[in-house]
Amino acid sequence: MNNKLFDLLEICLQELESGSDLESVLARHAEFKEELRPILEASLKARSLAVPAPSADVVRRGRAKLLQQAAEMREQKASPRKRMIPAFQRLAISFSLTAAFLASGTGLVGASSTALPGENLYPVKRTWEDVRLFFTFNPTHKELLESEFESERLGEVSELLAEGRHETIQFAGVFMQVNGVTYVSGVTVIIPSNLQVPAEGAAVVVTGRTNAQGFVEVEAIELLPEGSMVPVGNPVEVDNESDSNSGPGSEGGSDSNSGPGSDNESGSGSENEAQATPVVRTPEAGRQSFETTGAVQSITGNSLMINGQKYILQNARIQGVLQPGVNVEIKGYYASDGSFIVTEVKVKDSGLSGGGSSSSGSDDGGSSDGSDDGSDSESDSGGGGDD
Amino acid sequence: MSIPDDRRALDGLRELDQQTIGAIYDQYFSEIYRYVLYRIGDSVLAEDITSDVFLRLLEAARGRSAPQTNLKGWLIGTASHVVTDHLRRKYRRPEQEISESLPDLTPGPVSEVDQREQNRIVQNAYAQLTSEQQHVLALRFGQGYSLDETAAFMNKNVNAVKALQFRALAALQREVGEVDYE
Repeated sequence: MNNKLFDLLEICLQELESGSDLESVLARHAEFKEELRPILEASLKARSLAVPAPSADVVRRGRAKLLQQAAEMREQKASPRKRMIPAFQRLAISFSLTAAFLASGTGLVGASSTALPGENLYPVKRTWEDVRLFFTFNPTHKELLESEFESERLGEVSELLAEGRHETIQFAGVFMQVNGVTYVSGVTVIIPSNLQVPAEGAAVVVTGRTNAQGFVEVEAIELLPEGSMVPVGNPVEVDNESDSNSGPGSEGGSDSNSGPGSDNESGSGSENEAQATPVVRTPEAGRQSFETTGAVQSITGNSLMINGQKYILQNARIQGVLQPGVNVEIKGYYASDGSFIVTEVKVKDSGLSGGGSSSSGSDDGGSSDGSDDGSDSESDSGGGGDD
Repeated sequence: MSIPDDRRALDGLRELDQQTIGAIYDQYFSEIYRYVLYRIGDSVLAEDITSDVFLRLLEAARGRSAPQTNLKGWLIGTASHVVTDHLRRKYRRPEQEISESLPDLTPGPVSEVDQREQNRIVQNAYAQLTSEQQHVLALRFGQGYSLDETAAFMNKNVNAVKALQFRALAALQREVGEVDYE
């Protein structure tokens, strides 16, 4: 019923629109006249509300307003793009440079790898280091890389001193005093009297100048927080046997026998190395460290062969006499290139068990060291191996 | 400039092309203005709201809510939303009688005073209808769109629109009666 009425209304509306008057339309649909009348009357009223087109002024105003808004939006749209382009360009340039650096490993960067402070390629070397650090996101790798670069600084200083060059340098290391001579990670340094001498074993950053006499004239020395990772450097050689004027530390007296009280290390009995034993974390801290024991199969240069595995000694602290055949306990870390870096070697027994070749050389040094260590911890193994 | 098809116009719109915008405006402004004025009965307000609808079109064209194909449908739909929104706010904060802002269509001699009074009554009655009822009457009797066009603009089928317009007219007639007695 309702649907029929709805349809009928539509028919009536079309008739009205085509010019028929209300009464004639209703007459044509007399059966629904009563229902349709008020609706059709309402439709005429609704139609009467229809409005004419806007005046030309209204149209013009609206048009101007819209076009002005469009122009402003175009400007807004254009301005951020201006900012975006340089940002993108910077990024593109950075990546291109990085790619160029990476691609030219044997080129400029390669050539700069051996550069020393004061040389033309040295800034390239340092920049390349910064780039590598920037693009290293793994914290462990980053720490390793930083440690590697710190060691590199130390190495540069040693090279400059060896060449007797005068250059301004800055490097980090462990401060120590041996026989009145001051060292930072094995590098001899002269601290002027106006600067405060750090505590033994403190991690420091030294700024100074290298000289032809083989030491660094310190201009500033800054203490690093406890636990800072700094390179340990080479052990300081102290000759116990004969009087040795230890190079630049000659002001300490020509016959500096290490026996007297100046040597405060209780381990002075070790034959030729007073170890730099830092309180600070050594570079292996925070890395993937390893610890193993075994018999030393061979010693070549700075590498050891133990259980068929090659280990590299790097500023290692050696307790006891290290020679082929001895059982050792070694500690160290895995370097980023996959090699095993040994930082600590403890000779567990100098008695060569299985067909050890030369046990003779270990008599004096080995016994003294062995007694020291053996009393500490490894006494049983030491005894067993002596037969 | 004529607009061969909405899709091309929309491409120009996205680029904020001056000519395209001008052409779209010229083509649709009058229709949208008439729709808005029919709904709210205030010529000044209708001008503002219609301008707002076209500004929204510019903003939408730059964003993701741009009309896809049917520009007129989008404009009508947006105009309906803006008007409904305006009326909702107006009901919350009533300002003045709608009769005072009736469009002064043809100021004239005494014979037309009755017509204007009649318009005022119908306008007041119309304002009492639901938003959807107002919308269907504006499309069918204000714009003169066919049943099919109206159904398309309202996203409804034809039968639903037939029923809706019937009820809207019945409601208008009822409201006119009530208004008339006030």
